[in-house]
Amino acid sequence: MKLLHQLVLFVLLTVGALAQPCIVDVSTLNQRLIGATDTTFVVNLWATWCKPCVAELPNFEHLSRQMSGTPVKVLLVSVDARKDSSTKVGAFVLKHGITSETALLWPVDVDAIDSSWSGAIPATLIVQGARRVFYEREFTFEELKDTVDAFIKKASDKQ
Amino acid sequence: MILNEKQTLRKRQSMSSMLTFLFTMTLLMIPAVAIDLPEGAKVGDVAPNFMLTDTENKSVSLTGYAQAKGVILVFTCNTCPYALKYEDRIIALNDKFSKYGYPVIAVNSNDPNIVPEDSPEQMRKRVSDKKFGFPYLIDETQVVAKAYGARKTPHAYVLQRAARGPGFTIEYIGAIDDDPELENPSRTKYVEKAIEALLGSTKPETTFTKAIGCTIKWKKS
Repeated sequence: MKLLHQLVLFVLLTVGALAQPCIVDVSTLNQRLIGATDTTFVVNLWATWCKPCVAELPNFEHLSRQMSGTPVKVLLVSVDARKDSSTKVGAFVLKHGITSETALLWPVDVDAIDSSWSGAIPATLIVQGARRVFYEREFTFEELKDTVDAFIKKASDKQ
Repeated sequence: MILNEKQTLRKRQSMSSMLTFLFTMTLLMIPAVAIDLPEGAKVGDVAPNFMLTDTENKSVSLTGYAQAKGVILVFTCNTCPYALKYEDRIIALNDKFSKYGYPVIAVNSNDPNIVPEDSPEQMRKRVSDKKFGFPYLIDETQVVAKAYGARKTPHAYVLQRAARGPGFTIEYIGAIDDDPELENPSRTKYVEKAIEALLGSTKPETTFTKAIGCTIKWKKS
């Protein structure tokens, strides 16, 4: 019985640890976004408490699966309170079977993400190297796909 | 939005002048802003006047506050968890500062077709349940949010009666404090500090901040 308890505890801890998103600050996030110059990051800013954010998350998940194997990477960056990282965000990720990479942004330096951002969510940032386009709005899947495609096409048009 | 930018750029690039090239380069450097979002009112601007109905069907305008020293104008709503976190603090601001001439005026600009819980009936219920001691105004056409450049809830503006003339000037825009979760006893209370400065005949030390909030639910065109 003791072994079984230990096993259950181990599994729960592991799953819990896997579900807990990384806590990153804006500078760390930006370094990652700008550093991987061949990758186009689609960064969705959301929170578990934001209804329209939660409503559009499946569109980002869908995009992530569709773009798997391409240089497009979806990042779901939560602006939930830091204390809620495992209880709310981690639990949400588990419950909804979120497969995209998730992080929790702390502290939230609104201007350092984009100077045009008012701080309202949902919002999405598309970054490839030095190119950044910021959208303070919701996206249907079609709108998201079109926007990402246009962003990528613009890069290849320049070359 | 990105398609509009693309179309504009193609038109520009078809012309061959250096001026056009420079104009294009400047366009690319402007942070991408959705063209249909309101431009921000800035600190120092004259506060746009408004006339809106409150939850008792009374007409409330900024000009009606001509005897006040200033106004704490807060864009808020019934539904955004962040706005709800700040509700008690908004009530406290009114309790503390209305006697010093700085009452609160709350405005709800959300489209109730998108969020039914932000309907005038629900707003009326909220005023009664929470005993708001200040008007909770219905920004039905969303024109006041657009005039002030409010983009989310909560979004606070501290207005001070102009030295000359009947209007008010905007002296602070942004967050109520830097601690939504009430975790930090030494939080910076931006709105309180701004009003204390103005009452002491000085300008606020911090005049502009940005914080997380929920987008104002704009009417779909």
